[in-house]
Amino acid sequence: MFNNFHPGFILILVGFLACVLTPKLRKMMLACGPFLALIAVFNITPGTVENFTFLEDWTSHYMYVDKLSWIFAFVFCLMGCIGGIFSCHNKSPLEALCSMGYAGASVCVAFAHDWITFLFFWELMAATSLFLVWNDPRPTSRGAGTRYILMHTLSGNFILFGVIMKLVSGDYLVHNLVSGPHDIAFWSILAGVCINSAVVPLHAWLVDAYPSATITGSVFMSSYTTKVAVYALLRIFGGTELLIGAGVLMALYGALYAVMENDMLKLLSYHIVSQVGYMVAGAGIGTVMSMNGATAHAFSDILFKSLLFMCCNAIIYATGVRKINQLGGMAKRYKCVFICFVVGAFSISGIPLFNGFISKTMTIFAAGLGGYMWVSTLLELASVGTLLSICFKMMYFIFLAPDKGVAPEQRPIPSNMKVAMIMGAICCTVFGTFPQLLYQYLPFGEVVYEPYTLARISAMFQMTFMALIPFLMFLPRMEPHTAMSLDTDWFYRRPLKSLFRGISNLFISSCHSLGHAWEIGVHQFMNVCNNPMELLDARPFNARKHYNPDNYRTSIADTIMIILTTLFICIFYFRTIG
Amino acid sequence: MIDLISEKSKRYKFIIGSFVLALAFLAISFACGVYTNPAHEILERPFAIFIFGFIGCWVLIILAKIIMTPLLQRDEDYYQKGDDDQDV
Repeated sequence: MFNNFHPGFILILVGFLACVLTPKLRKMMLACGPFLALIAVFNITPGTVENFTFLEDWTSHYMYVDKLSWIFAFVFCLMGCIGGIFSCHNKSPLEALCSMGYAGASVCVAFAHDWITFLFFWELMAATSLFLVWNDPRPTSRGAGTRYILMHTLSGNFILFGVIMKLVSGDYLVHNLVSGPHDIAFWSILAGVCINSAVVPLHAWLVDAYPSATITGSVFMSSYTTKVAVYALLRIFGGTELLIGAGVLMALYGALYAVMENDMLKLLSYHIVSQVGYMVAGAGIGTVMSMNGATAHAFSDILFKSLLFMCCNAIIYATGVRKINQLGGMAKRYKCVFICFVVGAFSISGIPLFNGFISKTMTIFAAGLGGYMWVSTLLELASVGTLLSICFKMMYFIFLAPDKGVAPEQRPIPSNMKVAMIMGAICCTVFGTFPQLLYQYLPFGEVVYEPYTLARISAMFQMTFMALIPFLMFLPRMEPHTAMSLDTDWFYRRPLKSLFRGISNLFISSCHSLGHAWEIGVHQFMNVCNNPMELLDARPFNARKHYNPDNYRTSIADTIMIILTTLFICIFYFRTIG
Repeated sequence: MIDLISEKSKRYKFIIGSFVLALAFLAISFACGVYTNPAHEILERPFAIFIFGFIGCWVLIILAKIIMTPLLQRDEDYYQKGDDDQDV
């Protein structure tokens, strides 16, 4: 029934329908519609190609399915299903449209085979996700959304420039550019993709915008933008060595900032940077195992990161509190959320039986196998950081520590949110327990990696329990403070603010000056209209006296003189003639 | 709920418990004749991952909480200071 239906278009259509339907039907549409896209993905086989010709001779290769695009489209649609259920209680039609449009655009990027189609849906992703930030009523969201779209416009423009260069050279299709010339088009497209991948130091938009999005919007945002960029890195830049260092830096940077952070969603956003670092490093190494590891980790990350976002957003929804140091005792109050959070935390930390274990260890192993010992060691260190900030810090201070009593329940968590969290937790556990479910679909050749060996399981537990000891020893000082951490956006937020204010002031004063000049011009024009003789005045305008009609009036004596003279002439004429 | 901050004795119990569990997994590794990461020259050595977890965690705590926190943390309204509408 759904043969060769584009799943991305189905998701976009679901968004449009959800936008125009009544609230009750919208709820059903959001909960059930994305499953049609999932069915459509299952009905597409690698090798499927669909084109659409328009503008006489230009063809859009809007659906090119290979193993890489298929696995990403599958997980995007799966996340669309979970996200649709999580957000179906939403009353905002715009948010429904944007969240599904965003998911659909991400699938379309994965299937796009020509540069123009790729770029079009890349921009559509940015445009739709922007409204997930702006739809939040907090005043800070407006500023965050503006900065978000500025960065994504920059990313889009870099890619546009590279795409134009590619089209000029007759290169129409998206393919791996590493073997080709490393020209300006290569670097331009790489820069654009790196911004979306949140490569440090171009990552600050992510930590700024994701926590500022709506409660359901941030769940979608955590899953798509960076993973689509990872897809682009794997397809276009797989094997670029520069990415290895960038990936390691991201993994460590995100983990360190997460240890300091107090805002739940900001902490998770830093962990997006950290986990995407593994994928970027895997793409940079470029071996079959590292590329498969990066793909598997992107797949796993979408599931466990969205699960963690859902859990934290459920608590924010119920209590209205975002700060870790104001929470505590949530395990007792929200048992379902706690269990799902434990699954998400164990997954992201790479604990056996959860999906992070089957993907993260593969990437680290591939780095070691590829001869990058320092990369492997530093990625291992970053995974200790993940344990520290999510598995220990968040779990203790949010759920297990005594309740501080400052976060009373304002409203109950809707059942659809719980269902979505349970679905996410089941996915994390199933894919973690049965790795072949995922490994059979990995696109870069046969997977020879076996995660469940005694050595790896034992190593993971040794590392976990030994890392727990410093955390417990340092526990009284581990509680985060009410503060914000300066990040690389410090370099442009304040200077840009001053620049924008300066430009605004310049425009305002220019308008005032122009307004004054206009006023003088009008006045002079009126003078000239009143007395065109002024045009003949040789003096410059400034030196002329203001127009005074009295200066040009004749005196009453002249009039009397004329009348008297005329009278005397008449008397004289009539007396002489008479 | 577990108050590990004020109840020191409970915290020490957890520390000892963690250490014992880590040792148990190390013993399992030795008993089965396998070490840790077989593709890694450093981490494949005996005790390597055992010590790595402990030292790695301390390194991160020192870097993040002792060095970076005083350097990089500011008031929450740092970027809003001086704004009329809190909108930047």
